[in-house]
Amino acid sequence: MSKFTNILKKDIKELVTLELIVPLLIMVVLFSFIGNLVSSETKKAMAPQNIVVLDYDNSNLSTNLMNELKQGNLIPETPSVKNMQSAIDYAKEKGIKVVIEIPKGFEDSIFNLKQPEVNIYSVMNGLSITSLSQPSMVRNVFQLLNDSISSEFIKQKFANVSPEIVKNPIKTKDFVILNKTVAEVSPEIVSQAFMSQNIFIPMILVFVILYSSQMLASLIALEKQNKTLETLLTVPIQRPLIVVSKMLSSGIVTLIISVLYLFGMKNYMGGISGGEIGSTQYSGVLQKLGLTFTSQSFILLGISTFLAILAALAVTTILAVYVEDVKGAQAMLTPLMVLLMIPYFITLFTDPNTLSLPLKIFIYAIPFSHPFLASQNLLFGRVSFVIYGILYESIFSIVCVMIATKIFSSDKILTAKVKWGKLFKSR
Amino acid sequence: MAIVEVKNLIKDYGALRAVDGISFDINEGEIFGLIGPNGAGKTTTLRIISTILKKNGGEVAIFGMRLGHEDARIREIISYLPEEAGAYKNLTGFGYLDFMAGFYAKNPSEKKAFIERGVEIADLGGRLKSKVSTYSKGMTRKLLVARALMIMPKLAILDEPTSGLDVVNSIEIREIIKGFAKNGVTVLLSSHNMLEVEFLSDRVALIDKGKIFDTGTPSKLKEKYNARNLEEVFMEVVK
Ligand SMILES: Nc1ncnc2c1ncn2[C@@H]1O[C@H](COP(=O)(O)OP(=O)(O)OP(=O)(O)O)[C@@H](O)[C@H]1O
Ligand SMILES: [Mg+2]
Repeated sequence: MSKFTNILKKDIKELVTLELIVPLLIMVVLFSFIGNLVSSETKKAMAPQNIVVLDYDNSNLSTNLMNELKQGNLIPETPSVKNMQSAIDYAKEKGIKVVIEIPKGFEDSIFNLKQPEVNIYSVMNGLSITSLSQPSMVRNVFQLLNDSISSEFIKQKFANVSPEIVKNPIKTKDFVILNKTVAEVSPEIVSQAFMSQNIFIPMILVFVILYSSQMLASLIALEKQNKTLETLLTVPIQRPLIVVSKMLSSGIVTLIISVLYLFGMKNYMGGISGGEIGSTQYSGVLQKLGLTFTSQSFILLGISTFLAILAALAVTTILAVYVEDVKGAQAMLTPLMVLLMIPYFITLFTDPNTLSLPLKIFIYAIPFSHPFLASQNLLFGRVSFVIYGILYESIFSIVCVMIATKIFSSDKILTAKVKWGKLFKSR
Repeated sequence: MAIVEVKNLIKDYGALRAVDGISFDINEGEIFGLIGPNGAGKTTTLRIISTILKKNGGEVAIFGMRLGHEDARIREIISYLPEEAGAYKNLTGFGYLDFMAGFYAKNPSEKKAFIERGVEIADLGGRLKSKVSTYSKGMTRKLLVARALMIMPKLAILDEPTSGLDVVNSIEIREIIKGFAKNGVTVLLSSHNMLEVEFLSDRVALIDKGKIFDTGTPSKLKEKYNARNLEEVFMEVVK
């Protein structure tokens, strides 16, 4: 075992280079920075904002409007100016973004059903969050005002009826049926909730598989490029352990990197979404529909994911045998990348079970598809699909690992050569 | 006593027969040299004996262990220096010796002894603390020779041990190899530098086009072919 830790330590050391660490740290710092920036911008937008109101009416209703605005987190200022232009100048000078012009006869027009026009001017000097959010806040206030005034009108005409019914004589109600459960919710909300909770898993999976394969291929290619492989093969350590060490070290380093990335992402997303990812507001809906993972599903998903990574690493090992240097390793991984992106995008945009049979077979034949398929299949109660998938992944991985260790135990690793350079140049 | 026995060894690369039925024995404590021109099959032979290439025919036994059947045990007692080799660029010279010693040492004190010996052979002073990627070709070669010998293998297989080294360093390395042989390490080496082999080897085999033409001590061979040095012997033999 000590021989194995010896080689494992060396492999990890070789992977953790400055070229790896520097961009990673930059990424984490940058993401956190952007996240903080966005969140402080958002906070700024949330804080009470001053606006300028030019009130030509000076009626009860326009005073009422001021109070409504205050309720809506806006602070109306009424500078003593004569015309619109000076009001705008005033706003610009004070850095205020919105000017509202309430026309003369505002109140009268409303009560005579003349629909007066209120102009909302936005001073735009960029596309910052506040320059968009403030006018919409103002509009929201008017929306509320419209609603309550129209309710008043309705009440006058239909004394015993709720204005709600007059506005919406028909009421629709959404239900979603899932397996045997029925819940009062719209499918959009279910889908949105599902996405918000499950969008990260496939993304991380793609990242982990690609990154670890890339590392593994480089690690093997480096042994060839630096001409250390020949020596390593004469060293008294079981050959399969050489392969296992390379796979494991790529896995470990990738794991550490993904945790760092997730940390950076969390800060980033946290800043953008105001501190909540996979927001809990949805989880109730999903729970009601049984759309949450049980611990059994989690275990199955974990196994499926692990096997997909193992399969990718084993395939990478086999392919890396035919690679001479690190550059060749990049080229060699292209087919693997394609095979990974296909199930990723397909599961992102559609349910693969609704595809045509040949396409379905193709998707299910790619061993890396299964963890992508698993989360949907598990949530929608198709557990046997997942179990067969795991069986298939296991067989695939075992065969590939066997081939990979066999290659390392033979002399193919030294004699097999494909000139990638030539292959690509001749095109 | 013969500790390496090679009988009718054959190796094919596709249609090309690189080693064509060669046989030779190496005695314990001996330095045995394979000499021959470029492409003669020296490296191929050494790689087979080092367990990294599979033979297509013939028999090889090392300390009585049969090649192809007991490779794992053979690897415990041999040490191979490839013709073209490097060290891990990300490690320091010292780190590399430490890493390689880890495979052979049975306990920490033995590992320490291996590394100390390696440091002495490499003779790189403070540069052992810098990354291998900053080494010159000759420095790397010395590090690799040190790595191959520091573990006191029963059989050291050295493919062109002094390739890339200047005269001073070559002579130094030759002396070191001789010293190890005196201390019980059996050495199998190859070279196309026949003067080097003549100086180093107790016995030599002349190889060309995958065949061994003659085997013997340098002095016997020179006598037999009435030549002043091994170069002349070689020209006579392959004529
Ligand atoms: N991996 C390989 N694939 C195909 N042919 C090879 C391979 N390695 C060596 N050969 C061929 O085998 C023959 C013997 O090569 P080898 O490397 O053993 O010669 P050598 O005696 O070590 O020569 P040199 O002094 O140049 O190192 C050569 O003809 C060479 O082209
Ligand atoms: Mg050679």
